[in-house]
Amino acid sequence: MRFSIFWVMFLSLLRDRGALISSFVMPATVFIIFAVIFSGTTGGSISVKVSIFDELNTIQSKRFTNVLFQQDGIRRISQPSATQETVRRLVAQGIADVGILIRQGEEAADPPPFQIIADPSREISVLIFEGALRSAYGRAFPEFNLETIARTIEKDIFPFSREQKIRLDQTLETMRNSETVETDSGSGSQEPQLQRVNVVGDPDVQTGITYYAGAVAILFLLFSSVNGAMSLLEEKELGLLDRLATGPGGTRIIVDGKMLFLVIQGFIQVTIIFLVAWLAFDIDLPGNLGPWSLITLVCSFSSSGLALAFTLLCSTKQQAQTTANIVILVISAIGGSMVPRFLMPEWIQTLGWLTPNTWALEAYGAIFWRGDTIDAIALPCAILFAVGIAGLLCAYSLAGQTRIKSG
Amino acid sequence: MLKKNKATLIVKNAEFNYGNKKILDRVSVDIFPGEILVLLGPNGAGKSTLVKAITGRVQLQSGQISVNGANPADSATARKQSGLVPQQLAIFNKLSPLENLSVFGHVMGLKRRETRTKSAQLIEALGLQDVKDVRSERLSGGMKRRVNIGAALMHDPKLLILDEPTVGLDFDAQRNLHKLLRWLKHRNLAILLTTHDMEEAEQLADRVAIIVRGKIHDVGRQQDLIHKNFGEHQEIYIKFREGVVQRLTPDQRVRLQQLNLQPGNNRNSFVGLVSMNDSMTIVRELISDNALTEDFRLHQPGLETLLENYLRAE
Repeated sequence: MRFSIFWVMFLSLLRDRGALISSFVMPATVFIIFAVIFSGTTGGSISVKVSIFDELNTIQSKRFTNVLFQQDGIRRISQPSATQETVRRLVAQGIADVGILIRQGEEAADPPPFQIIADPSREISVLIFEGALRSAYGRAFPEFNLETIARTIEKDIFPFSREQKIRLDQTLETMRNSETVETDSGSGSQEPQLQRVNVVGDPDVQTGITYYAGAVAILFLLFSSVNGAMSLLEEKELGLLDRLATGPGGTRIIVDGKMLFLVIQGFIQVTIIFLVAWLAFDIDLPGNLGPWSLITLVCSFSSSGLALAFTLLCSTKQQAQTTANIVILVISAIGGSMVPRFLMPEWIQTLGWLTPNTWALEAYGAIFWRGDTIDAIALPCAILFAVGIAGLLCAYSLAGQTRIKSG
Repeated sequence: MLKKNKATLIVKNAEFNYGNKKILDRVSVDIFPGEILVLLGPNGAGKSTLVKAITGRVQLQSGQISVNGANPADSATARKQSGLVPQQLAIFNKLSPLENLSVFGHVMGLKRRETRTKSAQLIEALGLQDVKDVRSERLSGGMKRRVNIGAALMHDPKLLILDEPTVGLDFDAQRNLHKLLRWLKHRNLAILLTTHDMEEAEQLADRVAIIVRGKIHDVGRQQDLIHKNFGEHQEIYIKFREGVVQRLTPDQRVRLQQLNLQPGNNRNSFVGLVSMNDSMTIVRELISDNALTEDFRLHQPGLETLLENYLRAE
């Protein structure tokens, strides 16, 4: 008897392609995606994108630059005309994770002071970069170590003879002018002069709050939109869709009505998240109300359009529910709703631009973190709006096809 | 008398194929105001597709459909002329009857005031006053069916299409629904009804259209169709007592074969169509002896026999 029940379940699973994929293929797929994303966050394969301006432009600074970018995980981003402003702008826009300015010391022989241009929301990148910089510094400027040691010996142990001094100066001069680095030059004990400048972020707001307000908002927008859009499938099963479709407006008014509801529902949902972020975490919502409203509206529009199209591609509510959970989790992981994008491997970051999450995060980050003007949100908003329109048109078409197929 | 008016629905040579399969094969049918036309056919005969074509949800490959002079597939005005009552309870369960009617009124393009007036009228006409504000999910099956029909009447359609409206209803609810349909018919509505319930069809139909494999085989008043197909023949049912069949004389067996009676639903019963003369013979030769028969019925063929006849012919 027990075996009969087992047999029924076994055959049911075997004959349900969707359930088979959900049970055995999707878990492994989701694991691979999450493993790739999260392995990046542990630092193993993280790549820090660095923008650099070498004000010094000497043999030594060039040597340092070469050593710095030879290190694992430190990647120089291409920048046609480097200036201090370019570096600051690239970091502020999030194109570079961190910036470095190599500046002129007070005297020519002094070690160069470095200015690190940082985005506090990418603190992990800044710390990794600082470590790499120190290591590169020791290897790139061995003469500073030698000079320091020699001065200490001369001052505290015994004075050098004239001949020794000449040989020391010659050695130091040779080291200064060398373009190459000895592999065994070591990390050295001389500490570089570092100055850190944050170019973005509100000092009153904790790092990450603005990021996760947007990240959670778009994640839940997608979930609630799909849940709302699934009423279409319920109505189809009940025959309501057929009945409503016989009205003068046809299926289009049904899709329009659902879209309107989902957009308003989504807007209210995101409003609640940001109200909490404002009241509890000091995000400057009142100061950015206009741009925030625009971003929230297009995010809601985009997720609603996508949800309607997605739902109409499914035949049953169960199928939509299962698939939606998987799809939303995956695109949210790739898009940065779970882990900050800059921590992900480069190719996943690139893939992220195909998700609404990334564009939403880009837009919210622009106004709340980077303090950009409304111009900065024009592209993300235009793309999210276009995605919403595409979803809506697709939903019109699919609803129309449902009409014909049901015959 | 009905045909003095202009037909509300005219379907002419309607053809619809799905892939290589012919779903509707040159279907022609019409319905006049104040008439109930019952569409009879087995599952997969094309009834639902015809209904979808009439409501504009399927575009025909050829042929014409007009509801009050306009094609519902192209014209919103034509779609507004018909009201569809699907087989399922296609209403919003979380809404009350009054709210449901309002929603359907708005969807069909009624203005707010019209919707309010019309829904109030229908609530009264459908006998839903006491439950008008109760959530539909809490109503009985019969009440829900009324709301289901009311939703299709909100925009004052000229043609009402009902797809199996009494499925799952108890006798009382079914009788009330029939009463409602007759009332609607007297309000000059053209009604197209698809049903599997032959008794319901016989009670309600002014005319019957028989559809089998996408083809309308016959349309007409049921008496005319029955007369046309069976003439003066009667439907006969004989059930012999246990063991009698085995003990029939050779003459009696030959007689049964000549009458072309078919085995019935058990080994002792026979059914068939017989002429008046033959029925007299049977009565004389077989039935007069009460010791032989347990049950005997002779009656005019009905729609079920008619449909079976067409199915056999196919």
